[in-house]
Amino acid sequence: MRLWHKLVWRKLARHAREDSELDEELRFHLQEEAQLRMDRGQSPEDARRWARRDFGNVTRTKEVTREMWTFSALDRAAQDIRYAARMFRKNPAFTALALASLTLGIGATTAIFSVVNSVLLRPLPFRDPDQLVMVWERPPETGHNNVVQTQNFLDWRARNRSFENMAAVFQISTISKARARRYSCPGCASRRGSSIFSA
Amino acid sequence: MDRIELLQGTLDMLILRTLQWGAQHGHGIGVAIRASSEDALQVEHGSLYPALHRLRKQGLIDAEWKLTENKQRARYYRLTAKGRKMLVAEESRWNRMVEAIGRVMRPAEK
Repeated sequence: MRLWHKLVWRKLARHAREDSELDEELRFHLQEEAQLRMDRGQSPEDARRWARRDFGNVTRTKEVTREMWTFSALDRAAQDIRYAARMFRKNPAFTALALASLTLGIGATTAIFSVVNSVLLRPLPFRDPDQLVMVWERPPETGHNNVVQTQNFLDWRARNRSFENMAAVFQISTISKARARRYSCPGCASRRGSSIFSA
Repeated sequence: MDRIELLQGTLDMLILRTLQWGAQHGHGIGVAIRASSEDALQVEHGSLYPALHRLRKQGLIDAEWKLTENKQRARYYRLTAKGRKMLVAEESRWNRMVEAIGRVMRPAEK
């Protein structure tokens, strides 16, 4: 913190010195030009007036020159940020709109990613997840999957020859691990448990 | 006589060229450019200073406060070794450009 203050002070001092030197430099220029013109026979007022005219805008020159010398990339970035903050304050409707779209955009992206991450990228929280399949009931002529009736499931399990074991899931909501465990199927154990099916 | 606006980016080269004859202050540079172009080039003297300070920051020229013949304090600029090299490079670039543009504008004379 102290070092920072020291740096800032040194910078300010340097800026001030540069400023006063530039002032002196430009004053000298105008005076010299006026002198040159007086030597050529112009009246003092005319000489001063023409010197200024030849020079252009003094204030603008100072500003541009100062920028050349004193502004580092960091200064300019700080300036830009301050300017942005000022503009945001000045234009609250735009700010609100920008913030809202940013919020929605980031929120939606995060939500979609967390779904993709848990559904597609992360393996299921069970042992041998690649051995796990889901079996549905599809009544003929409906073309969509149906909820499996309890008795049907029990029959499937009793006559099962294809799977090591079968279990039914009451409710599927497996986005977060904690909830997955809470709703996990009876007989299913999470990866940390000893077995998938206790039955 | 009509005055010509300076081409973008040529002021730096003119300044370096003027400083080839020795250290000079801002006003002296302006006067020298005006005189050696026989008043044809319109250089707003104010525009010299941003250019001078930029060249200084780039290390192409050095600045030093000295007394003039009339015992006044003035900031004198002089070429650095880097500036001298830059001047040579800029000059040859300029010559090539003038030649190329000339060929386009007056193809029949070639």
